[in-house]
Amino acid sequence: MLGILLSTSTLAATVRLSAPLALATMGSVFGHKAKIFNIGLESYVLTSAFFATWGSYLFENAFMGLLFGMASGVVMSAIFGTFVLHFKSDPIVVGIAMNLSAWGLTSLLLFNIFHIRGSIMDPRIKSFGSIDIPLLGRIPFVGELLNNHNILVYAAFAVVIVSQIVMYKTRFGLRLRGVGLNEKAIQSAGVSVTKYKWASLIITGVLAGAAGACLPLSGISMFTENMSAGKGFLAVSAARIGKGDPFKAFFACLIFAFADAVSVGLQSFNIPSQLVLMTPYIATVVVMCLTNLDQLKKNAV
Amino acid sequence: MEDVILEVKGMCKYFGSLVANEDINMTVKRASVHSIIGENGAGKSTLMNMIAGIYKPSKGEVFVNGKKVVFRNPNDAAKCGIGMVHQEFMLYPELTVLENLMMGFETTRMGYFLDRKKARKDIQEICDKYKFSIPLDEKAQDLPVSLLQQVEIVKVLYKGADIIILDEPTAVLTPQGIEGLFDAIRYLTEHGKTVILITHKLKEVMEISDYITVLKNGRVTGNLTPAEASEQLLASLMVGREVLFNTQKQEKEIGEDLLAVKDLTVKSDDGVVKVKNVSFSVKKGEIVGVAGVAGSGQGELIESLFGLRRPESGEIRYKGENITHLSPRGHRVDRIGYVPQDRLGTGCARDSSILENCIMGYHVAHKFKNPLLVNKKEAEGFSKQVVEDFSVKAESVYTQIGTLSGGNIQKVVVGREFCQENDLLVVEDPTRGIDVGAIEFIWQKIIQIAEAGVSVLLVSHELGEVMELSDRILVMYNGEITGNLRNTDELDEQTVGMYMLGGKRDEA
Repeated sequence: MLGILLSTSTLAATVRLSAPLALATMGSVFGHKAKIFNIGLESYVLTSAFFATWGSYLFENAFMGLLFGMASGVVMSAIFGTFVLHFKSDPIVVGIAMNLSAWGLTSLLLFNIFHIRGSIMDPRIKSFGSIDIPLLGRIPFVGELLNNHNILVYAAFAVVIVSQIVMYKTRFGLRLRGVGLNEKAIQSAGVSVTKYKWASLIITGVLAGAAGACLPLSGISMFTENMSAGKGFLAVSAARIGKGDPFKAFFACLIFAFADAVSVGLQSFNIPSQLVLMTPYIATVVVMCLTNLDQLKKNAV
Repeated sequence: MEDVILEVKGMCKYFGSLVANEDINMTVKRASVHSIIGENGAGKSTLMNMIAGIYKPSKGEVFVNGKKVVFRNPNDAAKCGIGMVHQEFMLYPELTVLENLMMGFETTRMGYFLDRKKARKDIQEICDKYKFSIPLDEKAQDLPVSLLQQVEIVKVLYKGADIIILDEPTAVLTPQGIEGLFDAIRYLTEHGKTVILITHKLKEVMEISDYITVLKNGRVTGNLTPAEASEQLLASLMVGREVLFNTQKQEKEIGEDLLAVKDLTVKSDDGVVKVKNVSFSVKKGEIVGVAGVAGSGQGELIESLFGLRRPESGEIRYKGENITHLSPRGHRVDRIGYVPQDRLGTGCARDSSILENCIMGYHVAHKFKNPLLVNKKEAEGFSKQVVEDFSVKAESVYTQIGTLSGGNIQKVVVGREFCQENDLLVVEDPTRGIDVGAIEFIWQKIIQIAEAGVSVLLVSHELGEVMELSDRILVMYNGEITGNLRNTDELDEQTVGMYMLGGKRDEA
């Protein structure tokens, strides 16, 4: 069984499954640093999964699907930002409302547009094809792990690296972190808090939108109700575990993705599938607990 | 050769119907230290916030170097060479000092990327020039307050300020820190910078200033130099009446031991022994002052006396009973009151009303409680008594306490403990950061309550306060009580200071 857990196919699946998580997490990381608690991320991923499917269906082109997905993410951010930044609503209430509505909205649209319930599969929905990188493919093990993924997987890795650079090497990143750490101080330094919070929300929208597009367009070419299945929540947790640090948060993503991949692998064993499907979520709880252990020690009197 | 760098003409600021500043005229000379003094709420900070571009004046003009200027935001003021160090530091605890200094004023490469190298070089130059030494790569949260203040001053200099406004800079500092700050201020003015200092500590004003402007109720009541002024004169200009700094103490009966501490040892959170084998007693009706350099173990001692910290060993006896392991609530029930040093953090709940804060801690111990519910009538009566007895300026007892000024909050916190029928009061820095009028008031109350037979254990970082009020002074040095001195007229600050620095000790 351990062989399956650590087989190259499981590890390759980890890489593949980490892409949507990593994209959404990077989106959440920017919100985290600007001190916006956006639990509504789940709704971004779900609506984007739907709109990406629709975009791909309309134009029979995966890139148009991705564009639709990202646009829907930005719209979600606009809604969240309007309520939270302008009407000063409680972000958790807004987030929960958005998560609940997203499920209803996507199911409704699925029925109204495709006249179908449950899930849509159609030859017109195009996925991203896998890319064979000539040299990479020849390296044993690493090649198997990293080669032949679709473009979104590579894009996700690039986004993680770019996020790290933006966060720590640019003026934008420094100020964004300043906004999250001390609003009063950053205002007295002449920086507009609202502007930076909006900027972080737009980034969240684009990246979470891309994450949503990964789900239907990574080969299966279909949309199912509640397709996001908690990926947005996992991304929020990963960003929090990493304390907003892109690399650390990405590491948490890899753990979640690995747990996900393992649960796929475990399904071939005689273990109740419900238990198997729990693994990613159990992993979340365990990782959360472990990362908070030192915090607990510090606070103990 | 003294020319005017900053001039303020007819400055007014209204917040709704409240007049914060009315017709302020002031000139500040180049390369001088100009102090703005006044009680809390006199409008010092408002005036400075207008000069620094944070508030917009309702009326009036500002001239810098003879040129009229209008600031729309702090950056405009910074461009004219005005920078302000706020009382509440504008820092980012989790970032490094370098990042803190760069924030909002970044040097960049290609317009986007931070140029840390150049920033570091520029900042290092400023530090060298003005003799600051700050660790640029440490996180702000790991530095002591005095260093953070230096960081703030360097930040202002880095933004190119010629006029540096310091808002209550000494409130957060130890005596040594204050000396260091004053040295820095003198050095800055020698090098052509102008420093505007907001404060209400008269001694410091007399020591450091070249010019003094006194504000009262938003108006200027005096423009003078230290040579023309005396502490008495400044105080009366600030308050508008004579202020008694010498409390009139009556001879009184001192009874038997109320509190007896024996061989108490206490550790801090990091496991360092902060209080070592301390023994002392407090008698009925006695004011015992605890003096010492900040961090000599006073905080830990008080916390263990009030049950907030578990002592490692030793015994605390109160009215003959062992209360070493009693909870804070038990202490309240036993009629021990506590005025904590940190009035906002520990002393009150910022978002609660005056009434709620008044009964806090006493809600179970004494009255105010029917079997299940708070007895609102009694609670209201008690809070009104506190507000009246301590002349707290507030609309009603239902006013949120966080909206009051520091002095008024302190009066509520002190009043709450003093108006209860307590037998022992543990009072920590009762006049920290409040204005002279309120200081005088609280001092009188402490004297009065001791005359009524209540014992007071007074811990203060202001040696003057301990000397003024106490019947007996315990001096702490490095966790030990090195001196147990009767406070007579012969005792002077130098002697106590020797004990505080460990240079002298009683052989018990």
